[in-house]
This record gives sequence, C-alpha cells and structure tokens, in this order.
Amino acid sequence: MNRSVSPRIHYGIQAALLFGLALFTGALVKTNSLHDYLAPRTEKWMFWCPVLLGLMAVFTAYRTIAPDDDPVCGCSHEAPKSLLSKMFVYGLFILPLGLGILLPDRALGSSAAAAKGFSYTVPLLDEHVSKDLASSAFQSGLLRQESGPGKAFLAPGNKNTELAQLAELLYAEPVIEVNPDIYAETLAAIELFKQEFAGRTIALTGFVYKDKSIGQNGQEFAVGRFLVLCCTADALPFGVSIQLPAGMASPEQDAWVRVTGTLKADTGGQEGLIIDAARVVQVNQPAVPYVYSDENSHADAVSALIQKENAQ
Amino acid sequence: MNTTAVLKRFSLILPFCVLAACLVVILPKLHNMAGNEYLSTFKIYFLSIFLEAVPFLLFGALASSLFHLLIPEDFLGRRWPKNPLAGIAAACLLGAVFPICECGMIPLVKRMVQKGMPAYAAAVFLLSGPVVNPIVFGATAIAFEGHPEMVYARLGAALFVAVSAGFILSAAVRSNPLKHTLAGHSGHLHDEIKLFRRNYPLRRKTAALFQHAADDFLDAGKYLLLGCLLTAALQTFVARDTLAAAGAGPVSSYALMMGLGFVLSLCSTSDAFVASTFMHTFSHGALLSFLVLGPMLDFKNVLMLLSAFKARFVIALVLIVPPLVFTACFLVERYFIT
Repeated sequence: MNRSVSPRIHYGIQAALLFGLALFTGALVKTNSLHDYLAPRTEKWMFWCPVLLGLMAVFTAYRTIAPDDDPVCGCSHEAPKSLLSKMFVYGLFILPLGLGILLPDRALGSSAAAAKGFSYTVPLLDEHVSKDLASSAFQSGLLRQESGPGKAFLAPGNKNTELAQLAELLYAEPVIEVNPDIYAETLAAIELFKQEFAGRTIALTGFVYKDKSIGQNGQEFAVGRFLVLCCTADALPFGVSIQLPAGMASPEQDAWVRVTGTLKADTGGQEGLIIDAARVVQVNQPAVPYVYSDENSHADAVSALIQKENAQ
Repeated sequence: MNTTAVLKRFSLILPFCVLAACLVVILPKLHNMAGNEYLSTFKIYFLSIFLEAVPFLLFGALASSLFHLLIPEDFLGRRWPKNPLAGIAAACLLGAVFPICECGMIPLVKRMVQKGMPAYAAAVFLLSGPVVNPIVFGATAIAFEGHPEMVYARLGAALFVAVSAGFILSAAVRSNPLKHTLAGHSGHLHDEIKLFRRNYPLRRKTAALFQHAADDFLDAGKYLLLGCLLTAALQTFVARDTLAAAGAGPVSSYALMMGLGFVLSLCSTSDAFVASTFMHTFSHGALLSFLVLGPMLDFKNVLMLLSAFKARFVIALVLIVPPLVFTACFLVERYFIT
C-alpha cells in the first residue's frame, strides 16, 4: 500500500489528540477533580483511561513513521473526506480539552438547580409507598416502640430498613449533624419519620437556593445540594426549606451556608422538611460540593455514628 | 515531493494557524465569559457526559479491536442461526450477557456485522443490550423500590420492542447496513494481522490492537462529542419544568417523556433515578416509555450509530422504535400496572 504524506500528518494529529485526552484524564485523576464530573461509582472506571488512551496515542504516533509495508492498513476506517470535515472532527476533540483547561472549575449553582427543578423532598425517597406505609404504621402504633433510652424505629417498608436504622442512630444525637457522606440518606431518614423528629436540633451545610414560589417575604429560602447519581449532568438538586426569624438578614443566592435550627412539625401541607433557623453562618464552598449515594461511604458514615454512640 | 503534496500540507497547517490566532484574540474574552454561570454549567454537563462515556467507549473500542483481530472474516455469517427466531433469541442473549452501555456497544456491533452478523440481529442486540442486563435491572430496582412492577415492566417492554423491531427488520432489510464494507474496497488484498494466526512479532500485534482501537475510538468519539454538545446545551438552556408542562394530555405525556429520553441521553443505569423524580407529574406508562426509549435511542447514540451504519438503516430504526415503545408502554399501563 502506497502511502502519501497526508495520512501521516493525520495520524500525527490524531496521536496528539489522544495524548492530550490521556493527559487531561490523567490530570483529573491525579488532582482528584474527577468528582466535579463523576460520581464515585463511575469514577472508578476512569482510572484506566489515561493508560489506555496513552497506549493508543503511542501506537497511533508510530503510524506516522511506520514503514509503508506495515500490515495495519486501517482501510476499514476512512478519514473524513474533505479537509473542512477533518478540521471539524479535530475541533470536536479539542473542545473537551479546551473547555476543561480554559474555564475555571465551578460547581453547579442555583441557575442549574432552577433548570433541573429543585426538589424539596429527598429524591432517594420513593415517595408514594414509603410515606403511605409510614403514616399507616404510625397510626397503628407500630412505628414507635419505646425501648430503653433511645427510640426504636420500625421500618415501614422493607426498603426503608436502612433508613430506619439510620433514623434510630440520628435520634440519639443531641444535635443532628447532616454528614455530607450520607446527606441524602440522613434527610430521607428524617423526612420519613418527620413527626418523630419534630423539634429536634439539626445542622447542615449547603448552597442557598431561592425559589420564585417561596420566600416572598425574604425570610424563607432553601439550603440544599446536588445529588450526583452517575455524572454531574444527571445531578438532582434537593434540599430543605429554611425559615429565618424576623430581623435576620437573608443570605445571598448561591452562597454556601451552615444552618443550625429546629425541625418544624407543622409544614403546613408543604412537602419536605422545614427548619426554623437559629443560626445561619456563611461558609466556604466545600472541596466536594456534590453529594453522592455511595454504599461504601454510607456504611463508613453509619459505623462512625454507631461508634460515637457507643462511646457516649 | 511534488507541489500538490506541499500545497496539501499547507492547507492542513493553515487552519491551525488561523485557529491559534483566533484563540489568542478570544482568550481574554473567554476569561471574562468564564464568570458566566451558563457557560460553566454547560462545561460541567458537557464534560461529565463525555467523561462518563469515555471508559465504556474505550473498552468497547478495545473489545471491537480484539474481536476484529481474533475472529476470522465471515465467521458470524457462517455460524449465526439462519432462522430469524433463533437469531433474535441469540441476539437477546448476547445483550443480556454483555452488560456494556450503548456507547461501548456500537464499535463492537459494527465489527460483529462486519464478520457476518445479520442486520436485524445487530438491531436486536443494540436495542436490548442497554436495558436487558443485570446491572440496569439492579439500578432500576433501587430507583423504583416501591414499585417492583416498573422494573419488570421495563425489561418486558424493552424485550418486546427489541424482538418486534428484529422481526420487522429481518423481513425488511436484506442488504448490509454498514457504512463501508471491506468488500467495497477493491484494489488491494486485505492483509490483516490475526493475533494467533500469522507469525507477526508481538510488537506488531500489540500495535495492531491499539491502532484499531484508536481508530474505533476516534470514529465513534466524534459522534459521541457531537451528542454531548447537543445534550449539554439543551440541559443548560431549557428548564425541565417547561418541557414537562408541554406534556399535559395522556398521550402527549408519552410523546414528551420519549422526547425527553431521546434528548437527555442519560446512561441507562442512572435514568431510572431521574425518571422517579417525575413520578408525581406523569403516569407510570409515560415514565416507562422514558425508561425504555431513552437507552435505545438518544442524541449521542443515534449520532454514534451513524458512524457505523448507513443513514437508511439508522432512520429505519428511529422510525420503527418509538411507535413500538409507545404501544408496549401503553398496553403495560393499561393491563399490568394498576
């Protein structure tokens, strides 16, 4: 097969692009910034990518200097016909590199939350069933069984056994700290046993989201996080409503705050949790702004809670 | 080197110079624009969808390359069951056994068709693979824990759609659906490296493996990137609620959810969670149509199909699948979900 010069240039460009992608993904893995884009469970697939891309780049680069009788002819894959379309294709591959390098890393904010639809209940919680079961179990007195100093929470549905265990652990805490490792689970557990937790003190950190529908008087806003399932594009924004006491200044949209307050019993027909804020402190955006529903970190956080309880 | 070659070389380098010049001019402005929240949101969506797919595309490309180097030409053509029923069953089984998502599947399917897999079987594999497998089953079961019927309905409906599409295509498509076929390449003998056959040195074999994989990756990757661009732009600029508001009627809600599944291009393991957030807004049938159609057809997937298959074949798939999904989901909602 007689090779002209031009395909060799293309192999060179392709090798450069592959090498660029390998470096980019490698840098993301090395600097731990993958969590900006991926959830832990998809992240682990990424670790081999820099190596594979690098190998592909090296062997594609070899094609630029390979002897003409090289048996890999690549004839089943034709490069695009016109120069313009070639440039377009290379431009496409430069795009992720360019965007990733040139634009600063910023976490998703309230405008993304508004576009996706901010949820005032925890997306993990399968609303219909667990709520119905929870309330019926509550009415029939199954839910609450006083046992010793703590309360035993009986799971209203088989799925919610985990949440019930968590609720039990959380109930023993003097101040319920919403741990980012189990952010969604904690809020789900509290929401599931809303009546039980009414009046308890809770502390959580999140970004400020001001909806058009709430906060007409400026004393109401939401604090929440994005729950990332596989990648940040499928993140679900959710959180709790915060009611400020009269006279307290409302924080800015998108600010990161730590709210301490009591859980309100009467939510006035509104879905989700409402916190009567006692203290709202502005904090720095955490290194990992998103929350995940990861089984490993969940187990770790729960065992940490258990240890804490045993120590007390 | 003759003058035309020199000219060609210049014509390649010139656009890059222009691009570099443009970048130098735009760069300071870009830094100002970086403060724009929409731009950073777009960047996050675009990169996250792309990065999520990259590992699967890489594994798919490597698998396809291995398959190409290991399996002789027309191997599947001789071995694949001649009876459409058996062929479809075999394709469904393949889909269940290989739990790769659609990004990784397309390069592999392309190779399989090259080695003689019939077009209809390729379609069944492509349609059933992303939904009918244990991983997606598990993810859907977690997202719809309170509604186990949704999990089975999703699998059942997906199987129904894949199998019926397979029957339709087996009756309708006779020609090779691939874009370029080896047979069409006259002129030189196809002297391919086979990993276990010829006495090529290991270095050559490794080179062949990765070079083919790189070709496949770049081939499908450009369409993946286009799909990511479109999806990210849509997710950034169009609010989900405005879309949801459009699907108020019982039938239009199906159309809307299918459209949403097509446009959002979610991975089949995460779409169930997104669907469960629409639980209050739409009927279960409409949600089901989202869950079944989304993994089968979406922006990036259709664009990637175009990298391997003839436009006619892809258009046929795009026309056949949505009505089938609608029928399946409507019937399921009517008779199985109370």
